[in-house]
Amino acid sequence: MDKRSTRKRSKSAKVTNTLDKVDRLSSLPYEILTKILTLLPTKDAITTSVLSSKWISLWTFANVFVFPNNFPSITRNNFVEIFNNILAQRRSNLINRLFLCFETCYDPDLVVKMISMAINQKVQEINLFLYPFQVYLPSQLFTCKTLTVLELVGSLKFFQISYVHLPSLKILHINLLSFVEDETLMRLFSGCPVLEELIYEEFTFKRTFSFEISVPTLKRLCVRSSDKRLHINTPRLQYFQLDYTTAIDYAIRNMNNLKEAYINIYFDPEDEEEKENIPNLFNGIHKTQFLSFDVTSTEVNELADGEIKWTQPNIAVPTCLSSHLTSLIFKDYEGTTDEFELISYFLASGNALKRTIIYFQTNWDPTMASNDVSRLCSLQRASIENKTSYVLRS
Amino acid sequence: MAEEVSSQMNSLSISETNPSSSATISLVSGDDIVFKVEPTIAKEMETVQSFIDETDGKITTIPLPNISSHDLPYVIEYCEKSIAGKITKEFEAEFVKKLNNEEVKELFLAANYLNIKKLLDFLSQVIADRIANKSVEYVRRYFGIENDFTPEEEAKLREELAWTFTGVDPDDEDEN
Repeated sequence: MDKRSTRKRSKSAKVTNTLDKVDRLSSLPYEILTKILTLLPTKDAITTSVLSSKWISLWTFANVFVFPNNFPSITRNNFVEIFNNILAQRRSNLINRLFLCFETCYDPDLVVKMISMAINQKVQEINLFLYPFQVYLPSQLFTCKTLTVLELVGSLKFFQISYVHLPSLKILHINLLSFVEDETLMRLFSGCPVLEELIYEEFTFKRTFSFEISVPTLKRLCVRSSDKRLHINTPRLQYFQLDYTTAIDYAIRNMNNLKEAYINIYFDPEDEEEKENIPNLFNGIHKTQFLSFDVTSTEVNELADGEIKWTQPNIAVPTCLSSHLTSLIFKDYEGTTDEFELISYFLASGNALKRTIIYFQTNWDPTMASNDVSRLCSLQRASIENKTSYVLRS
Repeated sequence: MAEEVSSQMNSLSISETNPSSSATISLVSGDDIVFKVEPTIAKEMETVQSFIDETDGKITTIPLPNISSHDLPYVIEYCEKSIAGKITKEFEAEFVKKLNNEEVKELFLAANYLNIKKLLDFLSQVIADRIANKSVEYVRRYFGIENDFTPEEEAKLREELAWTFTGVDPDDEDEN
């Protein structure tokens, strides 16, 4: 800001709280008002052109293109007209963000045109949620130098991608309805030299033995996959979330810097192979400082959801439990023998435990619960500092 | 006009007769209330800092005639949090809860005048959230915009943009 003019303005400006109801916001510079418009969905930004003559074309300077959902007013008849109109009126020659969420689309070619336009206008963030119609992503998308965030969700398809180079991409989210070849996916991962966050969701079973999520720069990883195989190699990972995994073949390498892990296993108690292989998962993430572990069982009718079967291991107590674990939180305690023995094992082995919280299942009878509390209180504790609290209703 | 200039002179003389306070910066609101702040706070306000730099740090009392004593404490609070690195989502949610629409607008203007980028970005988002999906009449009232279209012009515009007027929230949340 020009200092001289600031001072001059200071002397002549009126004190604000004299309640002059003049339209001071509209008199702000265009670029400041456009800033507000770039934070609105494009539909709302366009609506502001009816406010007054000053606002009539303000939205055309907004450097974003955001359609977070379908509108009933956009139909087969006016779809092409509306979007071509918007594109023709835009005066900004940059697009920071392209966000399209369409459940119906009357012209996939137009969507591709918008993606290509964004790439040519130095787009930084692309979020596509498109289904159920198919859109073939243009190959320039995978060599876009300015892109920092890419979300691809729905029925998007790739042409054969021969070359991927996304030098600025930090966040990648993939959840595609159609199968993508191992090679293509791995080429995509390895073409992102500064990728920090990956959300990878997939519901196929076709990965071959060579498939691995291998990203040296990755700090956060969320996987939600129904694949039987899960091979990961991420040496800088700090945050790992695994949702509803049914995998049986785990190969988790290089997770030495892990700080937080959230694991939810979708568990079939009949499947011996699955049971045998779960330790491989924990071996891979044993360096984590925080672990949340949750079991969802497949046999909801016979076995209560998430019921825990516990067999005292006849091996030495793992060092993570004996000397590192400081906090234990147990949810939905029902007082079964297995649960009681599991907690007993943790309390008797956790030399470093400072805090234990046990949440009872919410419909648990209070008098029964008080019996359980006295049973749990009588348990032997390895750590005298261990403060235990019992929560009846969470 | 004369009155305003003299009030500035008053403020200036305060800092000159009180050299021990030279470490702190005095910000004088439009209604002549003096707020003493640490120089680090002034650094957050680019307009103030460039004023100080321009005078080689000799002047430490800065008149801010566009900002009232009602709004300035909010600005200072935000800057303090910002320096401490404590701008969290929780803090921003609490901060914005205290503000009515009029205050949000005043603070937005203040942030623009003082050139505090973080506060301006944050308030832009607040304003966008508060006008998203609202009717034209609501947004006009919100900004205090005078409609300078003729009824015919407005009707024509509304017809052209008919597709944007679906799913608008009812106006009952208007707190102005």
